[in-house]
Amino acid sequence: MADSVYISGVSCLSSCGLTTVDLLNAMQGLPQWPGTIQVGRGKHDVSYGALCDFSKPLARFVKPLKRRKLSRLSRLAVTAAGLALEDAGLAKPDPDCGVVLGTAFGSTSQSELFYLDMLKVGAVKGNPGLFPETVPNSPAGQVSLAFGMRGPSTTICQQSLSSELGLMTAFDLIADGKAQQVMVIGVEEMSGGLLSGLWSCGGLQDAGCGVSRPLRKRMVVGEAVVAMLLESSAALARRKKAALAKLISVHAAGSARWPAAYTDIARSVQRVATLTKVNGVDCVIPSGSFIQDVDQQHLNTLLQFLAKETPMLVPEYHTGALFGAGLIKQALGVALLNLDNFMARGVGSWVDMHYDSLYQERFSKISNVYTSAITAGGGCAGTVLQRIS
Amino acid sequence: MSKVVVTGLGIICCLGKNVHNVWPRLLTGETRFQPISLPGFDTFVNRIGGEVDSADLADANPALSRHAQLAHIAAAEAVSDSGLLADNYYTPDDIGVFAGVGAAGMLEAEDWLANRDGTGRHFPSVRLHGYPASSLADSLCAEYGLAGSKLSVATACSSSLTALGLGFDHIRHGRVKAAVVLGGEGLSRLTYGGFHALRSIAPQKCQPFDQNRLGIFLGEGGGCLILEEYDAAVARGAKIYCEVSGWGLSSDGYHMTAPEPDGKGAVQAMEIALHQSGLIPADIGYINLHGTGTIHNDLAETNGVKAVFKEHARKILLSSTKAMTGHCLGAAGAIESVFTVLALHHEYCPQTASLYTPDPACDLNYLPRASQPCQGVRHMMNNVLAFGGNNVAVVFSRMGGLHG
Repeated sequence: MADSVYISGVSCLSSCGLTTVDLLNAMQGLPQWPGTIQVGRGKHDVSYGALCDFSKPLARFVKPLKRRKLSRLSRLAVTAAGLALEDAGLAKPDPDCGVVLGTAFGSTSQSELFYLDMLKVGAVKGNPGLFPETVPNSPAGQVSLAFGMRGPSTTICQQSLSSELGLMTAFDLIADGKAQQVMVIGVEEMSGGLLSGLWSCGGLQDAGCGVSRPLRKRMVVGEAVVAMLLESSAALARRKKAALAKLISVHAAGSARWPAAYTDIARSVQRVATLTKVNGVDCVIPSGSFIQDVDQQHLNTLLQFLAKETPMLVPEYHTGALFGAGLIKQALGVALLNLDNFMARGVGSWVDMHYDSLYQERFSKISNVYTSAITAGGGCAGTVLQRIS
Repeated sequence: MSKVVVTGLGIICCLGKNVHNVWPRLLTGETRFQPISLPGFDTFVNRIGGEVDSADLADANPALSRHAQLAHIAAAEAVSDSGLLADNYYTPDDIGVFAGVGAAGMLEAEDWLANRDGTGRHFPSVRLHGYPASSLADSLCAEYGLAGSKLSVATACSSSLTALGLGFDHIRHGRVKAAVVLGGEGLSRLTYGGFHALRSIAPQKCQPFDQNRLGIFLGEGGGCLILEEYDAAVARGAKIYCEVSGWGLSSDGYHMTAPEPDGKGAVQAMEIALHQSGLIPADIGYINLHGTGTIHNDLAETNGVKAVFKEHARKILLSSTKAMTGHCLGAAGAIESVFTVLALHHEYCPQTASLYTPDPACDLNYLPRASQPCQGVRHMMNNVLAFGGNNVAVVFSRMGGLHG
């Protein structure tokens, strides 16, 4: 068993920008929703946190001819992995580096493209270049190919817990000695088909979700990709590199309702908080669903373990709910652990979970962070990150 | 670390449902491939596949998508077989669900997508509930009231074998005491069209390791294994089939759809699995191969087996049960693990049906058209090699079987 798991490199691309600093800056202002798309036979608009242009960093990691063969989801994953490697001070990872991808929906846009093409040109004439990229694990495969990672590779799809369960899987792989380095990637893209589907299931708010309006009963979603290089202490020692943060623990609990709905939140949040020994953490970063009852219940349950003064930030209130890219919480946590002071403009508060209750939150010399994610379909996952002293 | 054992099995595929029906048919090399009768498949030139008999789905929950219906049927058998929920021995938090899927609820989503612009919100959105890969684990947790770890894997053909490995890890790490591991795959037009586009569908016969092999037959089905922490299983008096002694996974980093010709990635997965099991290559007596029936896969896997097992490779009994079930993609790992556990339990290895003319380059013992007894074999392996270069190997051992 390895003794410890460390985070040595992070990248974070979202609607707020191409870096974690962009996210931190955005969190000092008001949320914006750069994307709007028509759904429901064009009669309704929904706003979402569309990812900003990432063509420049992409060009550094993928050659133009190769780029054409990659789905947008794979391009995002490769770009984020490349940036996280750079952040870790690595041009190339160890050949035995693993890849664990978290995504709730995979490349829905690619499946849509291939299937509609097949309907158009005929069942037997589908484009063979499109099909392989419809598979949810294709971005992980492309990351392996791009950076020569031949270690353990897998893809976890568990709605908004995909990232945390990916972290847990990587944590166990390192603890078991099956890998010394693992690239964990959380990624989600919004396609026309996916947004239409979510809307038709009654899951999305219509456009016009301004900060002055209270939380609703439906979600505002976004797209993002976050990558994090996890390493064992031995791997870090070999290359004489300091880590950005230590991953202390990851725990998850299930429970479910079918069809997928937020259910039994208090019970699973309580169980995970107990398993992670969350009492006394310096800062909490919860997921944000935008559904008022759900988020309030999530926070009320955490308050059973924490003081009301504990600083709390919800990055997804600035990016949209990110499903499989929920790793943004850990990226923010790592950033906060490496800052001496940070003043954020929070959205929501422990006691009055209204979207329009903007307030300022001051963070100084945080030594640990707790992230807590809940998901439609039921369940919770929590991680504890610690500052490197 | 806790030992992990298998205490329940369940299966449904084109050979039928329930272990007691499917296992004898598998041993006799029975095949039930026929033109797929599902709507929309008539536009394919080659549409032979391993479709599950509609009679076997008669009692399935209509609210579930096809892949989940199949997996729930397998899970019901396995849960009953193991007595997992009897006497409330475990709390809901003690039991996790680890599901592997391929296309998940794609068949239903295809209908929704094709009608989206015409019907918008009025199209029954219930058809989309099975689309996320997580829907199978969610619906299973809900059905049985389970609240331990819940994890869905979507790595194409290796999904459910990876799920098995992760369930094994969660028990060993003390995250749960028992795991329902399952795989579900329903035939879908997108998948069928995709393999058509790649020219991978065999026109007439699925013949793994045959010189005249021309590709795969797609199948569908569900497989389920109940894993338990050994001490807990003994304490509640569970019937124990075998032990899961180790697993390995790796990435080729070579090509998205083709395996590395020397099977290097598969070698790595098999070696990690052997190492974790504390075994040497000569301990393995049977391998349920991935054996899809494509030129490249079968050759690469053969080369990989030779690289790991050296001279012992010629003594190991090998077979591809896909020759009888078709390639069940996301469910393949679970279905073939059920077969491997049954082979260990009954000391009888299933054959490779339709292997008439051995390929000179694939020159190992693939049990052509004849299943074979294997008394004394104490360790068996299940292999899968998937799109994206994912390779997984799992070792199953008779209880007390280390170097036995």
